[in-house]
Amino acid sequence: MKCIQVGLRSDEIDSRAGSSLWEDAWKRLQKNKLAWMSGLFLVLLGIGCCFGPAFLQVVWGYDDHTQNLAYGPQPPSLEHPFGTDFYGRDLLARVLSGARVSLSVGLLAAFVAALIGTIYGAVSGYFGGVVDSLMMRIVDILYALPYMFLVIILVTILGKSLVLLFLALGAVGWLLTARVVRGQVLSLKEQDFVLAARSLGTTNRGIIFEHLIPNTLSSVIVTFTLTVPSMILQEAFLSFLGLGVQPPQPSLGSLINDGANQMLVFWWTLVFPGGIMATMLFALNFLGDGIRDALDPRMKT
Amino acid sequence: MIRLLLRRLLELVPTVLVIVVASFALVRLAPGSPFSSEKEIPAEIRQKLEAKYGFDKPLPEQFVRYLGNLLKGDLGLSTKYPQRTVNEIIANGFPVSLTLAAVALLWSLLVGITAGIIGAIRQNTVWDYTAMTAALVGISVPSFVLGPLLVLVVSLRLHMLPPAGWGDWHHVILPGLTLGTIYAGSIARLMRGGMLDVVRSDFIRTARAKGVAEWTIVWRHMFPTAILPVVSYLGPAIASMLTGSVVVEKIFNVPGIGPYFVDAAFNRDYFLVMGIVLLYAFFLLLLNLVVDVLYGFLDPRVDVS
Amino acid sequence: MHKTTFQSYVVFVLTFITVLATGCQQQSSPYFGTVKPRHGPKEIWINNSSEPEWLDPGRCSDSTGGEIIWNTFEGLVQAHPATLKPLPAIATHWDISDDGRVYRFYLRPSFWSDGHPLTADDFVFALRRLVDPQTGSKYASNGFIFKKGLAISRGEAAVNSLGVRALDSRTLEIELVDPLPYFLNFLSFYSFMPIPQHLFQNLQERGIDQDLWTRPEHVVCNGAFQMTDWQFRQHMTFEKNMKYWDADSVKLDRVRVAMVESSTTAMNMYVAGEFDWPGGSTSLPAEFMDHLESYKDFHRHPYLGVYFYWINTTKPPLDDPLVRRALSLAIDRDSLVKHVTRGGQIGSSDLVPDGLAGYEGLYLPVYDPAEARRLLAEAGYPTGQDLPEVTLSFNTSEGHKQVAEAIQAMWQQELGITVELENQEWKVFLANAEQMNFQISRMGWIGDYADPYTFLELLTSDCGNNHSNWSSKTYDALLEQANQHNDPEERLKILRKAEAFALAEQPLIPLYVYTRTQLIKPYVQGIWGNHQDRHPWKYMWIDESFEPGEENIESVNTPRKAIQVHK
Repeated sequence: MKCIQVGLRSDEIDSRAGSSLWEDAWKRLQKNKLAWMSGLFLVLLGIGCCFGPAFLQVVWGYDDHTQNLAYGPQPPSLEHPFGTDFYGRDLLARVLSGARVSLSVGLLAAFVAALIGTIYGAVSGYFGGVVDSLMMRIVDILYALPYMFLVIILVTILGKSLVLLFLALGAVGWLLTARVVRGQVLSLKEQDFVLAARSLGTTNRGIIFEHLIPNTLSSVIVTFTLTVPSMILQEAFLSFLGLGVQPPQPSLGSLINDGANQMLVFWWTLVFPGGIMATMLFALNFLGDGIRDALDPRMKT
Repeated sequence: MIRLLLRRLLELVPTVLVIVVASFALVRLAPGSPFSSEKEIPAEIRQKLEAKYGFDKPLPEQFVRYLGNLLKGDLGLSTKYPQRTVNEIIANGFPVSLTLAAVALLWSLLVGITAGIIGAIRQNTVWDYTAMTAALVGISVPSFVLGPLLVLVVSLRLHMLPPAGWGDWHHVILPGLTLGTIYAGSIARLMRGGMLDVVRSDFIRTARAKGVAEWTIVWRHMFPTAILPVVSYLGPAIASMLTGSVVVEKIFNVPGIGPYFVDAAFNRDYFLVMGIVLLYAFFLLLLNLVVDVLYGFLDPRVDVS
Repeated sequence: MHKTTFQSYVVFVLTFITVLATGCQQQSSPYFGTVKPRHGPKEIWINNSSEPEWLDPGRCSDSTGGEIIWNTFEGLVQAHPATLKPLPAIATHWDISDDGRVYRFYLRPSFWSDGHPLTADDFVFALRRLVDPQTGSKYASNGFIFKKGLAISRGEAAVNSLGVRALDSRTLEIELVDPLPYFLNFLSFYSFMPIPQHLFQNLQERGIDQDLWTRPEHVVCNGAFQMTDWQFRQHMTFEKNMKYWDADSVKLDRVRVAMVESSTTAMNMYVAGEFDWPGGSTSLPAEFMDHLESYKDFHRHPYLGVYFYWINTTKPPLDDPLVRRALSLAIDRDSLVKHVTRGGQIGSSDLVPDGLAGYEGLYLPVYDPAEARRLLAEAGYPTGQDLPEVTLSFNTSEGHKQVAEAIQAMWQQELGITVELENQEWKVFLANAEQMNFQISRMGWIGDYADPYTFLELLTSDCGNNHSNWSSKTYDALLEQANQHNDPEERLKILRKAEAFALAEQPLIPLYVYTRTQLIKPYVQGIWGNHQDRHPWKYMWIDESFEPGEENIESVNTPRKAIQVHK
């Protein structure tokens, strides 16, 4: 399943540079209450994920892996607000721990993608000519290779570990960023400040990293915010195929997959992880939209 | 125009070649063999099996032979389904996947465009918010949740449609909806954005000032321009509908080509994996080409040649 | 504005929950699915889980292919549908030599589906083809019981030297390497079906690839049903074979076999009436067991299979038998089968299921955490924490994952040791098992015939399926001694001694004996639960007089109506 970043064309992104852009954007973002609420939710979720499992263990004495087979799957109660799973493990602890995995996979994979994509796109756009057409041809080829297949092969060759999962997802997810950044660099490199830097004898490397990339940051950030939810969905998809994180470590994807299999008998195993996942993706998308609107005044509604 | 098309088609050749090499290398790097089985196979018999498929030869020789057969249009034999050629398997499964993708596409366009237009012309009203929230729900619910839910409610409780299988139009609806919904959400957002871009442009204001009916403005003047982002999205969307059908085809037991995508890789069915990767790669490249051309026709500002 | 969006979000969430709640609402029917057939009374719709690799008796090595072969071909003997005792089939009777090594079968006059007479030569052709290395059969080893079978498969003897001879067109003589007491039971296995030699000549003359002989446009068979349509990965259609020798007792005219892999999907299709029987090879998900238990169309029966973990006995710390025994004793098998697998499996530390062909089980202790801790301390790891990390591999599947997760937690809780789980996809898993690239690896072994030997053979030194690296001359000698023995009682005693000897070293950790859980529509008759999961379609029929609520349904374990088995 390839997820498509939505609503973004490179020409939609305003390429005006300058520090006032960031200040303006920040002000605009502050006015967008929905984005604020989403951001707040994500921060709370993040805190919950980081400290929640430990907190639960100290206060209630539950962790995400201790089984109680005889207790088994029980519906939500005061003792277990989200109920327990097939092995009698507390579902709240597992959902929090799973959300931590999903969020970090999403953020890290999107970060890897943004990093590779930005540098690749900037180099390609800056040098132009043969280098550019060669590099873009490679991107075209990767676009044409069935994306999921690549991830599956990577995971089967390299084995399954969380770090590899980040890398595999990030390594195939950078194509869009590369295209967006290249498009911007193509127009930026003809502008006065680049020409000035070049006449001052700045090296190519300096121009790319000090002048070009900082000016494409706004579009990189927009692409990044839209990549995060899609990476989270990808991880869920890999878990569906049994290629994601390994038990007993949960991820939201694997929890939802378990829940979808047993929803007829234990409804809570689907509803809670599914609800958290949907809300999380909602918030990420709203925040992403908010940031995009803030960075791109033309789109202001 | 024709010359441009030809040139673009020619450009595909080296790309396809690189893809062949890359996928051949990747598939062969993966650990395991197509003839592993839980009961021991005597060594002599294993050799016979490997010789039958040419796996006993050095890799470069195998590659050259594969390339030769490929030029003749022969994709080889499947190791998992020894009575079928890869060509036969693809000929069986690909039309099924295409049908499914077509239904999903129709559904996503219908719902997405309608929701997008409603959202834009009733901007910042309950209509807008409802449509856009629905779009986000569509994007946020993974197909392996939506699919079982639809089966549960529509087939098992309401007894309206069969829960799985393939045969007549009854079987297409649920998988089509499951697959199309996520794209409907994206299309709705793109459509709304496109409409809002156009709504502020001069020619719409002029049309309004001239007293042209609102309905005509929306359909005659705004729609053709506003649909452009959707068109450019269609290429990747169709591609990912085809590859994304893995999950949906598994849930609904649709005999399309999606499940091979994963299973063939798992079974180390070398020729089948290669055949499917090539088919998809070729299809995706072609699709991008078609979208580019289509874009040129729709948007007078883009000069295709 | 955000308020409105928030409201519509809430509305969506509520709708979602309502829909889910409607979906999960319990139904009051005593049956899990519909109870009216969706087809005529002479037809049945079943599932066979996946596309078989081969439908060719000489090459088939998977149960999905076996299911089809059993119903389209008929061998010398057939297994009784309830007791699995060998019954006459193509052979009407047979003589056995005094040393138990030579069998002479007398064949009834019968015909292939194209009207060609079936002769003893068709059996000779089939069995030679099975061991012939040119065939490349993954199950050639089944033919090693015949004299010279092994040598032929290694290319060391001529194919026609096989110990299977046609004395005349209706008399077949089979010479065995050992006097196997289970031979007649094993002989109904799908590898030993006759093959239409004349069809092969015919195809060769027409220039058609002989490997395609089982496709519906070519196939010639001698069983109760004949394939008429094969929609790849969708379904197969079978019609009654009018030339079948026992056609009078076949009650169905048509069988539609679908290929649905996901057990959840198959279960849904059963509920909707798209299947009358989701088939023997569809295992129902463990989560549903308690729920299904209350329905009248749910059945279960024991199955001749043992679920166990191989231990690679060469890699420290598992090279120490004390550690291996500690691991075994720390597993609470009763809790495992009660709470995790939930299908009524029998927790067992024995390799051979108790009562198999008169075998008396060892009844090794199934759970003793105190002794486990003592053994681990004796091995030098008193707290378990200083034990080097151990990895447990299993192939990707919901059921294996559930067992592995539970055992991981038990070892952690009882012994304090950390176990890494590694979920591998099938081909990688098998490759790792072959190359001994694992520490603990899950395995399920399904008996091919009803005799302890099918399990005990696993631990012999030259068995290619022995993935423990454990071997013992004493053990091999005991098994060899047992096989030479012509007295069944005495033979079982020796086998029992061998099992006890091997399990004291714990090269594998047996966990439980399988059961099969089945959903069968109440209007379907003629399916018996048996421990090899063989369910011939020829005895099945649709009971048109069935009305829901009528309690004429007995357990699947007992014959519902007396069947006539032709002699």
